[in-house]
Amino acid sequence: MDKSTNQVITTVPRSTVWSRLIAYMKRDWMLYVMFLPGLAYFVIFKYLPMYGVTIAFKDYKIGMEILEAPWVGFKHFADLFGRTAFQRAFWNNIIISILKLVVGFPFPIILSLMINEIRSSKAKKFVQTSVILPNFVSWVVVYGLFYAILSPNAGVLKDILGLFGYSGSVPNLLASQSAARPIIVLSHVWKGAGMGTIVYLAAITGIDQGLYEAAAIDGAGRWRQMWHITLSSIRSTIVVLLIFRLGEMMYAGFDQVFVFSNDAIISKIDIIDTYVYRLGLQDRKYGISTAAGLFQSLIGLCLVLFTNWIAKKVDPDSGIM
Amino acid sequence: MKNGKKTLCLFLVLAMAATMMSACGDDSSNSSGSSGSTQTGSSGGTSASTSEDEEEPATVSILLGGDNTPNAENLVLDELGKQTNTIIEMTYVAGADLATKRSTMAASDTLPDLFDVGGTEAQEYIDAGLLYDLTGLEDKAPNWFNNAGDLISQMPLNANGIYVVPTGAQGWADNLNIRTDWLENLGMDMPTNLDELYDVFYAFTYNDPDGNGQDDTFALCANSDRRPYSLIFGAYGIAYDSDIVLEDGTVSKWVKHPHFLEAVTYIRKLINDGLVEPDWLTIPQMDMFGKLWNGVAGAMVWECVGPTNNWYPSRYTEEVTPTFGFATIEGPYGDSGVKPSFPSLNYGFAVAARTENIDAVLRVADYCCTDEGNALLYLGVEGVMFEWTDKENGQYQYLGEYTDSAVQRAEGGFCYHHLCRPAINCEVQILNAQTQEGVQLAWDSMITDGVVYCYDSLQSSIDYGSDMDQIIDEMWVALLQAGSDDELQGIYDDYMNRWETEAHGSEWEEEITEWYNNHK
Repeated sequence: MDKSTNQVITTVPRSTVWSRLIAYMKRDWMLYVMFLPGLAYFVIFKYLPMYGVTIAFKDYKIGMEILEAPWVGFKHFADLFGRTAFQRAFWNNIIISILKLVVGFPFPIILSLMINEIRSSKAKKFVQTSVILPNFVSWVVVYGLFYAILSPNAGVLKDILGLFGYSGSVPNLLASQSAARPIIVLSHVWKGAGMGTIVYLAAITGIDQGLYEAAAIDGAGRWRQMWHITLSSIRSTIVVLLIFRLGEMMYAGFDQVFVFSNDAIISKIDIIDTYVYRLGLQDRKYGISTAAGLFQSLIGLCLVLFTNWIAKKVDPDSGIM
Repeated sequence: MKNGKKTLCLFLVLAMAATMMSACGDDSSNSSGSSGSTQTGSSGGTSASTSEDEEEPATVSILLGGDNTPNAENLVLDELGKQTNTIIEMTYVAGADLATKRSTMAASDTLPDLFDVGGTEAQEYIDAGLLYDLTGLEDKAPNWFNNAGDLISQMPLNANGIYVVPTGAQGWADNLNIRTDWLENLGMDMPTNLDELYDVFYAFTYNDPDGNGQDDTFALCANSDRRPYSLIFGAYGIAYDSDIVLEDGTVSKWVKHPHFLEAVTYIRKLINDGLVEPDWLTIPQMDMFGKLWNGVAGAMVWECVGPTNNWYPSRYTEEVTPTFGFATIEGPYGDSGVKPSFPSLNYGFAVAARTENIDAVLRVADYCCTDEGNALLYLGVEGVMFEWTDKENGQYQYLGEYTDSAVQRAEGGFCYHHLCRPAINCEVQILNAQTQEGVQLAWDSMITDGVVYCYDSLQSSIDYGSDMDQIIDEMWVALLQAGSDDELQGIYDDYMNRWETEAHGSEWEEEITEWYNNHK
C-alpha cells in the first residue's frame, strides 16, 4: 500500500505538485501565515548563525570579520582534545547525563501514572500544580534553596539535626565531592519532573476509556490496566521524549552546573558547556570554544539519529522521522 | 464569526512578527547588552561649569564592576551628567562578572565608551583595533593624563599609542583586623606570632568574647579564597597569589614556596578546630562581611579601609560599635608581611574605538579624576548627600538619610568611585587617623623580596593561564579538605605534576623566568 502510494506521488508532474501546493496554501492561508514567524525564528536564530561554526576551523580573533580569518583546519580540535580539562569535562558530561537519564527520565512517567490514579479531581489538580511549579524557578533560586537547607552554618538541615539532639558539625554537602553529582541529579529531577509529567498526563488523557472498561470486564486489575493499557498507549510519547533527551545528552545543564559549581567539586561536575564558557567568554578563545560546541552538536545529532533508528527497528510507528 | 477569527489570526501573527523584529533590532539607546543593570544619569542642562553648555548633552556609556546595588537612576549619575554636559549610561555589573560582560560586548562590537581593561585582554583589543588611540588628546583631559604621568609611557600596552590610562594609585594592602573590645573582654593582648594568634582565635570561638553567655561566635571571617589567610602566609614569608623567585632562580607560582605546606598545615588546624567560618567553602562574600558586621566573627583579613573606615559605624549592628586593631604576625622563621600591591602597569581605563563623541568621553574621564569629581563618586552629591566640615583635613558628614550607607550607596555614593580615580583620591583623603595608621602598616608590611611583577603578556599565560589557575584553585581547596596532614604532600605532588605537565606550567616557568632575567 505504502509502496504504491509512493509510486503515485513520484510520478505526478512537478507542475501539478506546485499547483496543488498553491491550492493548499490558498485554502489554508491562515495556517501558513501563522507558520511564518516560527519559520523566521528558526531561519534567523538557528540556521543563519550556523555560518559562525566556521570559526572552529579558522584562526579567528576578536574584531575580525569571519571571512577574513585564515583557515587552520582541525588545529582547534587537536588543541581541544589534548587538554585534560576538556577530557575531564567530557567524561563528567557523559556521567552526569547518564545519571540524569537513568534517574530523571523514568521519574515523570512514574509520577504521571501515580497522578492519573488519583480519584479526586481537586487533589489531582493540586498535585499537578505542585509538581510543575519548580520548573518555573530559576537555577539561581534553586541553588539558594539548597544553600538554605544544606549550609553547615545556618542551614535547615543543621536545625533539624539539632532537634534530634545532634550538636556536632554538619558536613558541607554543597562542597562535598561525593555528594556533588547526587545533588546535581536530585535537583534536576525535582525541578524538571513536573514538565515531563504534564506531557505524559496529556498523552494519558487521550487514551480511550473504553479500553479500561473492557479490560476491567476481562478481570484486569489496576496494575494490569496500567501496564497493558496506560504504558502501552503512551509508548510512542515515551520514545519521542527519549529521543529528544538523548539528543541533549551532551548538554548536561549549563545553568545548573554553573550555579552549583565551586572549587571543591568542580572536578566532579565541570561539563563541556561550563568549560566552553570559560574558554570562550572568559579567555576569548573563540576557535577552540566553537570547536567544542560543534563537537557537542555532532555527538548529539548522532545520538538522535541512532536512537531514532533503534526506535523504528523496535516499533515502526515510533521515532520522529 | 469567520471574520473575527481571521482578524484574530492576523493580529496574533503581526504581534509575533513585531516581537521578533524588536528582538532582532539594535536598540541604539542602550548598547549595553541584556545583562547587568544599566543606569542612567542625565544632564539637566543647568550646569554653568562647562563651556559646552550650549551643546546638546552627549551620551556616554560606561561599564563598571562592583558589588553594591545602586538604583537604576540615582543622584550621583544625574550630577555627573550635569557637571560634564552628558547623559551617562552606566552598566554596573557584579565584579565577578565584569570580565565576562566585557568580553561579550567586545565580541558583539558593543563595547561601551569608557571601561577598565588590562593584561592580555587589553592587548587583544588593541590588536583588533577596538581601543581608541588617545595620542594627541592629552590636552582635552589634563587631569586624567597628568594623574597617570610617566606610567602611561611605561606600560607595554601603550607601546604604539595611548590606549590604556592607569590610575597610578598604590592600591590597598591587607590588614588583619581584630576586635580589640573582644580582646579586652577576654583579658588578652593583640597577638604577635602564630601561637598567640591561635590562642586569640580559640578564645574568640570558645570563651564567649562578647559576654552574652551563648556559644555564637567564631574567630576568622573566611571564604574559599586565600586572602583570609594573607597574614598567615606572610608569617611564612609567602606572598599569596604572587609569582616568586625560587632558590634556583626559576620564577614560579607562590605555591612552590618551600614553606607553603607548613602554612597550609597551620590554616588547616584553624579550620579543623572550628575557629574559622564553618561555611567557608560556599559562603557568598557579602554574607562573609555580614558575620563581622553582626558581631558573629571577631577578625577579618581585609584592607582596614573597610572595617575601620568605610563600614564604620553604620554597617555594624551591635548596640555598642566594635573597635578594631591591626595585628602583625611573625612566623617560625622570623618572617611577616602581606601580599604586595603595585601601581598598575598593565591595567587602566580605555576608550572604545567605536565611540561617537570622544570629547564628551574625555570630559567625563577628566572630571572623575578631579578632587571634586572623585568626591562626587565617593561621597555623593555635595550639599544633598554630604557636606564638608573641614575639607582641608578630610572631615565631612553625611546628611539626613544618607548617614545610612545603604541609602547613600543606593543613590550612587561610593559605587563608582573607582571610575578614572586620581592617585590621591577622596578615599585616601578622608581616612580617619586609625585607618591611616593601618594603611601605612599594611604598605610597610608588603613582601616584595623575591616577588616578580610581570606586566607583559606571556604567550603561555594566554594559551593556558586559566587551566593553570584552575588547578591551583582546586589544589588549594583539596589541601584544606584533606583527611589528615599526612596526605598533604601526596595531594600537593599530584596537583603540581598536573600543573606542570597538563596545564603547561613548566612552559610558563621557562617563559616568565626568561622575562624576569631580562627585566630585573
